[in-house]
Amino acid sequence: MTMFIKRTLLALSLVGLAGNALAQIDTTATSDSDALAEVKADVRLDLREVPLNRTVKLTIDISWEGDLDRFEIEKIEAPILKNLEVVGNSSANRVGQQDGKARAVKYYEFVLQPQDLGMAYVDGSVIKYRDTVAGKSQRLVTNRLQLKVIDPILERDTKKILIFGALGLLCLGVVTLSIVLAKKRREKEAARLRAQEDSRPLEETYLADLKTEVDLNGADLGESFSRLSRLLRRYLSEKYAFAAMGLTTKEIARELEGLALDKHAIEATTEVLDVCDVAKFSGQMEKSKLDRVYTLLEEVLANGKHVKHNSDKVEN
Amino acid sequence: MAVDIQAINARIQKESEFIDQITNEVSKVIVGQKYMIERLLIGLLSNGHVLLEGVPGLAKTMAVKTLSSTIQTKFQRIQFTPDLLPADLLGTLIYDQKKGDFSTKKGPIFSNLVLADEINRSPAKVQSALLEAMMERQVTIGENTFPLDDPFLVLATQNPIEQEGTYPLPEAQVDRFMLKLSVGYPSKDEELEIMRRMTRDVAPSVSAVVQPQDIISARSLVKEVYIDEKVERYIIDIVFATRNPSEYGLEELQDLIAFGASPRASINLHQAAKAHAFLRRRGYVTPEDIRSIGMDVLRHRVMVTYEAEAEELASEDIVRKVLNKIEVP
Repeated sequence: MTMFIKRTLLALSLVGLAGNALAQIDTTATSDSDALAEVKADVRLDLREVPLNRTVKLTIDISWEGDLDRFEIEKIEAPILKNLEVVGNSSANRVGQQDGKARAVKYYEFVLQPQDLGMAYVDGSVIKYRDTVAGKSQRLVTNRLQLKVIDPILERDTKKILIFGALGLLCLGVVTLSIVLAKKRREKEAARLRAQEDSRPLEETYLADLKTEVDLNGADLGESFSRLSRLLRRYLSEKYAFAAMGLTTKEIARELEGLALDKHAIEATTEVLDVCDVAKFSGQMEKSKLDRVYTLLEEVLANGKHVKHNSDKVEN
Repeated sequence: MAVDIQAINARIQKESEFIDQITNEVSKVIVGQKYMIERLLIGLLSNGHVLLEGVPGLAKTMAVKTLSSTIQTKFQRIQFTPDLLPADLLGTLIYDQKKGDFSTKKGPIFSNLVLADEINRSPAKVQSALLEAMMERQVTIGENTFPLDDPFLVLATQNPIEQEGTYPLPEAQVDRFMLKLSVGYPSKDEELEIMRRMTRDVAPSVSAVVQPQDIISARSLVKEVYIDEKVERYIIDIVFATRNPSEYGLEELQDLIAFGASPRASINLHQAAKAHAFLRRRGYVTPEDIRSIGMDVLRHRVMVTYEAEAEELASEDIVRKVLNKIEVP
């Protein structure tokens, strides 16, 4: 009986050494083995209060001095629970050193799920073990533990967040990819159109403009001469890359001579501009002259097809 | 069409014959310098005074003297010096002891062609006296006002390299010159000819081939030269572009121009372009005339800022950019 009290007190002192302030732990040691082979049990809950939608961990540590096979744990009954349910358990062994002596520990862990709001209880467990040296079986009984089940806390459903996040990213990726593909398609189309446009001689564009912009039968002859002159200057600017819009007829003629163009082309161009100048600035306008310069300009544009764009070199 | 261009052309052909005579005579003495001679004739035909600027020895004075020799008219050369007085130029009242009264002694300005040589060597009061006479075309001596002869043309020269002891013409005064010419060096061939001609024993002589009346008659014809509204608007655009360059796509010039050309520039450009067309035997003005004469009308009327000077940009550079930017009608 004295031995029993001594062991109980020792076990209780170990509870204090365990230092788990949150847990209520009772340990009871019942052993008939000799004093050197004490078995200790440490039972604890990791929380005093647990939200309804969370779990609490019940840990039972059984330890003794000596090797792991010094005692054989025959049976640990599942704890009797009130307002709690075991949702998982695990166990582990460990042998370490304490005060220069070997110490074996067996861990049993139960994951408990609260059932309802209010108080919950873990009743004392019975641990049966056998002293392999003495060949005797003994048992330990742990005390009852309690905890409070409180209102559930808001769950952060990380899984859902992850799923939705992933879906969002996927959508974003799809949208971005679509935009990039659409842009590339547009660029490709624009490049194709540009290539198509480039392949069309500049002169054709200006010939078309000449037909639409200059009205040979218009009432305002002066305006027709002005438009014709402007069109030719625009063409020269684009074709030979000089600022024909800001130059006078003589200056344009000098520029064209510098480009080593065909003499006839220069003369025709200069004649068109000269006739237009006379019409524009002297007011001396004749329909026959407009017809003549119109035809001349058509010739200039038609012959211009054989001259390289924006270059000072003639192809043939 | 109210204006008969062909009739004007025919008259110009007939009445501009003296131009060839003058140029032939001048070319006997002056080699090259066609640009300067043509501008002097433009001044003569459009009744505008001309300022010639160039380094010494470019025949500025000789060109003016030769030109005056081709016209049967009065010519005076006045060498401007630091001690010149307005009275030396305009004239003064002299006390006549016999009559016991003051009589007027007219100065050299009472002439048809006045060469104000090295105008920037005299102080502002003399320059002002001359420039007032140029504008008013009359001179007041004492209580009497005397109109100046017609034609009356001042051709002034100045040297741009010697600045010590000179009195630069104020901008407002320079504006009264219709044209400011920048006279350049002759070409190699021209200089060879000058060298040969000037070292001969016999100096070439010039005959007076034109009467003042021919000039006056030509001037009235120059006024009749047709200028289309498109060309007039082109002139206005050029002048306005010197005032508000950013409105004409010349933002880079906005901070480089202190003052743009005055309305007198528009008037002078209009007149000079007509005279230029006359010299080309044309009865109407084209943008060619404007671009040809534009620099000489505008270079002394566009004032550049310190920023432009720091960037070594002269008014010529600004005017050139403006002329190249404004779209030809």
